[in-house]
Amino acid sequence: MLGLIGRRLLVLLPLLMVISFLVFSLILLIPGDPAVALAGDQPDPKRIAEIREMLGLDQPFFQRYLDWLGAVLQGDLGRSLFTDVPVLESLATRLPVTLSLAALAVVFALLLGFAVGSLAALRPGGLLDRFATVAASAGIAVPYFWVGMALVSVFSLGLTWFPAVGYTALSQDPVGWLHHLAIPAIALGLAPAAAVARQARSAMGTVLRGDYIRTARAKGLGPFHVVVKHGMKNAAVPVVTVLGTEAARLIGGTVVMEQLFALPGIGQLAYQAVFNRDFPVVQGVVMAAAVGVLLINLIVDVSYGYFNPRIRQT
Amino acid sequence: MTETPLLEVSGLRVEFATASGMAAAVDDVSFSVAPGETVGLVGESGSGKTVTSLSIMGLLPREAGRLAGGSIVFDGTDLTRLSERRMRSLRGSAISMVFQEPMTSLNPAYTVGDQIAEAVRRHRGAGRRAAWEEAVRALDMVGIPGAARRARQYPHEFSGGMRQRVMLAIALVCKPRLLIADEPTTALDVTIQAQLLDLLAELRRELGMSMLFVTHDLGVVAEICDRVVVMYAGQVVEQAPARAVFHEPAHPYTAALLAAMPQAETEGEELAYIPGRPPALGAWPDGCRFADRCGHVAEVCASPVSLAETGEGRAARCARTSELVLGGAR
Amino acid sequence: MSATTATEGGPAAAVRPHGFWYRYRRNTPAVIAAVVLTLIVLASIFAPLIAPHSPTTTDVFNRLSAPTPSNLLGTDMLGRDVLSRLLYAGRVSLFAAVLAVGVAAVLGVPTGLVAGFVGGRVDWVLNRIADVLMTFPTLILAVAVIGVMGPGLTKAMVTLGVVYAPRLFRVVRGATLGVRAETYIEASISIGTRPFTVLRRRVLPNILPPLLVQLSLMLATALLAEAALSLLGLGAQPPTPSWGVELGGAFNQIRSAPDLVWAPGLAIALATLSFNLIGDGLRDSLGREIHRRSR
Ligand SMILES: Nc1ncnc2c1ncn2[C@@H]1O[C@H](COP(=O)(O)OP(=O)(O)OP(=O)(O)O)[C@@H](O)[C@H]1O
Ligand SMILES: [Mg+2]
Repeated sequence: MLGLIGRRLLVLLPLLMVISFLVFSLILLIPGDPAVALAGDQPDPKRIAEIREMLGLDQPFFQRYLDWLGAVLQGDLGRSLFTDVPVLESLATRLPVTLSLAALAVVFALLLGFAVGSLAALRPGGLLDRFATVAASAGIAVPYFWVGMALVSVFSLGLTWFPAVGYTALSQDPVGWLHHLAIPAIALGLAPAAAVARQARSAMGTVLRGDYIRTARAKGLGPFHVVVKHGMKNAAVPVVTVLGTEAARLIGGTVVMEQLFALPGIGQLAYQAVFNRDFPVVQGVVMAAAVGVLLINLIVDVSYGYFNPRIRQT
Repeated sequence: MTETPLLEVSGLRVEFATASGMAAAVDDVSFSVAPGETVGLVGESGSGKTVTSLSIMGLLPREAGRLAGGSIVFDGTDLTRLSERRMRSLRGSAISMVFQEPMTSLNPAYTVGDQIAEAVRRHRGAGRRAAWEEAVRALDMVGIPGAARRARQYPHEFSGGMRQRVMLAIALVCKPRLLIADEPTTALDVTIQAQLLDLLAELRRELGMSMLFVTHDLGVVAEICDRVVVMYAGQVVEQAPARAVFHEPAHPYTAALLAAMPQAETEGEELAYIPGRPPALGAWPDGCRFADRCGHVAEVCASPVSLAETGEGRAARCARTSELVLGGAR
Repeated sequence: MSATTATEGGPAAAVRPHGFWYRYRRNTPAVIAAVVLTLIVLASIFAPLIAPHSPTTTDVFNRLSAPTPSNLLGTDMLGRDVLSRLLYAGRVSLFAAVLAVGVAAVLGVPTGLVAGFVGGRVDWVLNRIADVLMTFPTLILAVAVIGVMGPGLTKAMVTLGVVYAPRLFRVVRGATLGVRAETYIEASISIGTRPFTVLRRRVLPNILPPLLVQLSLMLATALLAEAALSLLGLGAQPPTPSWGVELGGAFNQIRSAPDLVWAPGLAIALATLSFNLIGDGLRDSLGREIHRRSR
């Protein structure tokens, strides 16, 4: 298993190199002289010189890239042009917030999606199946940020069951943590839940007709045991694949949700950096997001081996 | 024959949804299995053997089929009236079934040991550890070498014959009183078939259980069965002690089956076969269902026939059985 | 003569019940979606004719008004008519989505064709580029590009188009590979048909079904992305109306006027749902044709 992970990581290295180059190249998109553009509305020559120095703009492009890459490999992503805080430090302090939001959304999507999909598959064409099919179509299409707003309007402002904004760390107050993240996580997880439900419905539909399901029933196992133990693990591979794609997309969604719900995560950092034209921070965030997606793909890949023993042994 | 049977199926009728409404795939099927007895259930493909077996297990496919009549009395209780909950506690412990498809009947995602131990834990409430040991013992019993090691392997690491042994281990691990073996060897090659049949006969004797052995191969019946039930187009057409059937079949269909049996001595000769095909499900005639393939067909065959006693422990569904002299096995 | 027409008419008549339109029409949700989408598009195109008010005229004395006969959906925080703004917003949002998908198509379709046909090293390189582009979460990359170049709807949508392109590339490449494997292409080339004709006659009909499905689904995604970016103030800039701008403005007022978020959200949801359902409908009704051809 570890060998498998190691091999996958090795394959990712060249990809990471290319990604880092693209991320670094973002600076080429800045119209005109980057140092002037990044110096703010009333650029004074001293500030411009400072930025030029910080970004090493007087050196040739490739030289700068290699220097930057060398620094990145040592964990130095540069400093914010605005607050002077090291980018890596900002990312690290904000990571738990974004991770909490994304993880809760994924867990919500998996539980709801698998449950609805499996129940629908149990009675194809039944009432629940037809309802779930329609609900899944709607769930995939509905804008998550609008769902968030609607939930806030009803449950935070109307019923005041949940706080409308803000964040509490898991380590400080687990209940408060869940309380603050519930609405944004549910809103963010709804579309993935719908996608998972669709996939689970079709995968479980096939799996539950399998001969080994009949064997399991012939052993005297009850329906719950049959579906959960003998069904799910076999239906998991396509479901996890979809979940991986959705999780990668969900990373983008955190930018919007963190802004709407005032969650101090990486998405909010990105938003602020964009408005301040804080180039090193923007770079850092994009790099972090790409690495996040690669990690998700890695986890998905490795999970195939767990769900399907045949893959594990080849 | 005065002994109370362990299993008594009477008037069983199972219907399936077809394009033209509900049709009975199994129609008025009655037979019994005595304690310790092995009964062969024989018939061509599609005659309703598997459907009958699944009815006994209470495992008919829910969305397509339904039990439309009859009773299945097992050890004094009518299984058709049992709650699903109580039926579950019998499945895999008192009645077990081995399926026709060894390649796909095991769950590819779990080790074979786990799949055997699961049954033990379900019915004996045994702990993880004890159940595992029981599973290894069962694997050993069905003749899998290196059982302790093999228990930790996944189904894809086993050959077809070995997988069917694993299925047998799952079925037998709780020492059932009745084993339904649905063509357990059909999908396997001949030498493996023979090994497995020997094993089955031996285990049956050892465990003292009854067995309903489903097959379309009369040769296999001759080897291991005490009595034979012959099915054709969803009905029982003949019932008799195994030896009697071979020497003097009472139904033309049985006779045709015997004539179609491949023989060691006649190898090289063209295989005999029964001309024509059985009528399709739902398209069954009112009279004898075998009539249009039967060499002895007469006018009486157009009216309905019922299963009638033809001698000691024997019955046949043929209007002309008393006038016919049918050939036995060659 | 009559016998010939009968035999010719026979197979055609037998094929018709399995035709695309026949199957699509039987998919009720997809039909409803097509109608709804047509209405939305028409309402957006003819916004200047339909809209009861100017989308930008403010009225400080009539702010956050409840629906009235004059303002059917009420007014926003600057006293502008919500319905009129939504109608005009539709033009901006739909155009933005079409722009992004158009860019994706211009980049993805030709490259996909080339990769599928030429194969070899070209295919390998194009595939690796697609791999890399697909590693970036689209929204984050769009946000970053805006961070570098400054806010603006066009920039945002062009960026999205670039990031979406690999998906179309993959679909077209896959379909092209499938077509190429069939012998009749080589046969037509070897009998001297011009490559362009082969492309138009043989390849396009095979690629079109999966491409149309993908385009439809992508329009929904692009519409959502426009809304998200504009909502954050990174896309369309107020006072230009767009569905995202409207939703963002409404959310800022959610404590004083919680009902304002419904209408723009519903507009986005209806449009994306329609695109999705149409995409599903296309997939189901075009699917069998793909199957038949590839056999
Ligand atoms: N799930 C089902 N839905 C509809 N019809 C079914 C279903 N299962 C079985 N049947 C029908 O019931 C009839 C009997 O089938 P069954 O499987 O019992 O035959 P069999 O005797 O076991 O044949 P084989 O030797 O091929 O296993 C067949 O005509 C079959 O078409
Ligand atoms: Mg069968």
